[in-house]
Amino acid sequence: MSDKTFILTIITPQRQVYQEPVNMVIVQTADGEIGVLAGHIPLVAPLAIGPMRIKTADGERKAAISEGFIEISSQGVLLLCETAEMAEEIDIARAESARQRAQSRLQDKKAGIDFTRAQAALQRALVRLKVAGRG
Amino acid sequence: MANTRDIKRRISSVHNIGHITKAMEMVAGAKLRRAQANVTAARPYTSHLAQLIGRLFKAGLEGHNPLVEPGQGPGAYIVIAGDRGLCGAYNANVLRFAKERAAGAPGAIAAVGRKAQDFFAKGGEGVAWSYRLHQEDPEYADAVAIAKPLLAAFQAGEIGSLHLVYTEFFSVLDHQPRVVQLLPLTEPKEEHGSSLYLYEPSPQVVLERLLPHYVFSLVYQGLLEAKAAEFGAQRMAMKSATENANEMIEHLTLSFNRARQTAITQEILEVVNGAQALEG
Repeated sequence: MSDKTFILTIITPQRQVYQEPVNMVIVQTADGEIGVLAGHIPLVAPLAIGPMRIKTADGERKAAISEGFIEISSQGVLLLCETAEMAEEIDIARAESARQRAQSRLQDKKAGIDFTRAQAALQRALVRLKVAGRG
Repeated sequence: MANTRDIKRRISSVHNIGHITKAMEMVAGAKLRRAQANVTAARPYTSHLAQLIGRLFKAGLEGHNPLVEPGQGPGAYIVIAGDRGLCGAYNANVLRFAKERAAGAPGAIAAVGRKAQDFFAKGGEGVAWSYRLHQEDPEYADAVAIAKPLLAAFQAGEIGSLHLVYTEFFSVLDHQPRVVQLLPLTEPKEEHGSSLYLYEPSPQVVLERLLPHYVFSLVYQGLLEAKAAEFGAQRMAMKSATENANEMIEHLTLSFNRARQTAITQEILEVVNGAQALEG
């Protein structure tokens, strides 16, 4: 693997989650998984809810991200997401209860529930649990 | 003239009120600092989104997006005010401003906060959508919940435009009501570099997905600013209440002393008169 680095920045509406030099970033875009190395051509693409991997000189780190965008430019890689958490920041108990809530909401198919919203909530919870190493 | 005991009782009750307003002032001050930090933390996200959209506009790709084209129908207004009083003219200012702006757009008010709901429900404009924050610090999810039905209404052609009315926070002393056009979206003023980007799957799809996020983030920014302004106004109101209480205590102490002096003079007179009567 190349040892060239670039700056990865992850920004959510609440805060800046991450800003470090990294070797490689692997994210799920709406069209599928892409891996980004230094010197990638400038690109903008929507992101899907999913896990992401960050490879640095010290090893690999994981994060859970939800809907957003990736912008690759000569300055580095910028992720703009509605929510993003590094693996060690994830509140497992909260994600677990969110998963149960979303599942029960999907199961009782009463009228008036927002199906796509419940599904997205379930997916976010599952990704968080997966990244945190449970479930 | 009131007797000394009554005045003493009033002094102590005003004193207690002063204590309470002083405490409320300090609480509002602490909340204000947190709200200001939230405003600053949210800025990079919005400005990066604005840059992305600015580039797409520059490249002339906004053409066929329904969120960019002016729609038919009445203009809708999201009006952000507080849930509670005790914050001076904060609610009155933003609501009066909103009423002037929204004149002639009946039934297209999205009220955020109890004061806004009550104001427009009573004022005859009617509230088409309403929303209450569940906790003190607005979350991004709140902004999404507010803006989503309005985006849908715009896309369905029920409303022709969408504005956001909120109070912009400059400093504790200075906050002004402000109106921002959300829909149809206009080109952001943000600086944006070159437009030599590859867009996947296509620029149109990227723009289509970006625009709602941008609207949400603008609403979120508005919510945070309004909250900071509310706490600022609350702090100022409580500060002047504390000052008034102190001033009142001064006045009351003065009349207390006067009343006491009168009573003493009266007593001396009585004693002297009594002594003279005995002598005579």
